[in-house]
Amino acid sequence: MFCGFTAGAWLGGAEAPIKLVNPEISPITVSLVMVCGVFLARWSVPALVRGTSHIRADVGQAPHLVVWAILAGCMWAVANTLTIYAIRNVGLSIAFPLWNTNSLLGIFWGFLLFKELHAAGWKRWLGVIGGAICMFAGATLLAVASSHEAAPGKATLGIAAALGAGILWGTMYIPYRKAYLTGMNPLSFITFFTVGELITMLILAISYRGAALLWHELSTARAVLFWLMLGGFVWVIGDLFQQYATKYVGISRGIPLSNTNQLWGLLWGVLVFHELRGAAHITYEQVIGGSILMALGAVAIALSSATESEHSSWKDAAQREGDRYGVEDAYVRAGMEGRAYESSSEGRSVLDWLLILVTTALFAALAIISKPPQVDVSFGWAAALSVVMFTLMSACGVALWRTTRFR
Amino acid sequence: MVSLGPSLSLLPASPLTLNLVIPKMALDSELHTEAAILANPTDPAPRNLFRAIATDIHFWIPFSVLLGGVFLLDKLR
Repeated sequence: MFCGFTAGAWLGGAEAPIKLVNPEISPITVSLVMVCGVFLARWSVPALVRGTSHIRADVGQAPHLVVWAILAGCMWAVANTLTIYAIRNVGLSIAFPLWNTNSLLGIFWGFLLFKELHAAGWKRWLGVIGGAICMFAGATLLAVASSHEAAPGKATLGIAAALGAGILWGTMYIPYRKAYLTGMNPLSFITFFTVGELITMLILAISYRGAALLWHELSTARAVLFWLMLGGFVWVIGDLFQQYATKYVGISRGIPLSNTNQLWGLLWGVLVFHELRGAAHITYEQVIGGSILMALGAVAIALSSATESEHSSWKDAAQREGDRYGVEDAYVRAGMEGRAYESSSEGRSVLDWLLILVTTALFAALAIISKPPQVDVSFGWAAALSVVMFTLMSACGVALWRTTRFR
Repeated sequence: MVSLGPSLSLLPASPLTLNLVIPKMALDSELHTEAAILANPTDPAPRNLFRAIATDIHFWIPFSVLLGGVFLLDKLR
């Protein structure tokens, strides 16, 4: 649960750097650069946290999951690009809650495909369904608010993009849950996930922009590459906590909790970037009311923790995966319980340190050539929110290490 | 958000929450395997990995949604 909440803080902060970037840069290019930051983070963070030697062990046990990891990465890349269009057409504080309806879809898939909420009892059902209704009501309120703020055509485009991203992300959780029921380590999953991300974004960028125009755009956007890649890096931190939340409490709880990122998005949008400034009073009420409704819904869902009988249902779903793909039962159980399956080399290899050093050097180089943002930003609020994010990351990281050793 | 609604949780406060079901899992796993064999003695789990993936609905649902997303993106750009 703590992981889910921490994920929300970091996922909410990840979109903020996009606001710092010149709106004339193509959304495809913005997304590509973000994904480059994501790619670097998804290899360097696991290297820093546990070393990458365990990845080989995981792939050896369940090689089929590489397909799902890559598929999930492809979905993430397309969804992330859609969010760029959504933010530009209806703004961060409105786009966020709309694509956060992904949690509703995630609950549905978790129930249908992975036996989540089976034998959960009426209280849990009430919490989850009631929470889902709250979230839907909140999203509807925000959609109404957006129709006042944007030109009709732009609002429709923005809403379609945001909801499309929500459907993609909500369905992306199928590979997540499949991998973690089988016992895979999230750190292993994301290393292949990011291959799908990067390849998809490269294909989209080159086919939509053309190689020459893309290169020209990247060259002229040198000054902001750091901010975009930073956004990707921040996203990875949040996503990693979301992965652990999904692994240990399932889609139906983990994802709604991490979707508290909508509140963080609202804070960043309103406090730091002064969105909604000058808007009508009714718009503020709709946006804030809609966000609160969605947050209340997420809390209600999070309060409905799984019972022992529901965990037994999860076991059946895990058994299905093990039987279908010939995965060792002991590996599956160990993974679900956060225990070590077999001893693997602790510590980091030369490759791990190389990954960490190259990533650090690249970010440092981009930071040196970057320019301060040319948008109206409240640095005080940005600093305050950043402090809170780092505090949550530290506390949750320590707790996760103590209980799971990041398995 | 470390403690959320303890009145609704029947389990001890544990982020993993699965430790209580270890013995049950071990026993049920054996029973499930035996039941599966008895129910389908001539229908072993597919050994071909490609076939297993190609016949898995967990693959086709995300893949279909991905195609839909690419279509939407193409319309938006």
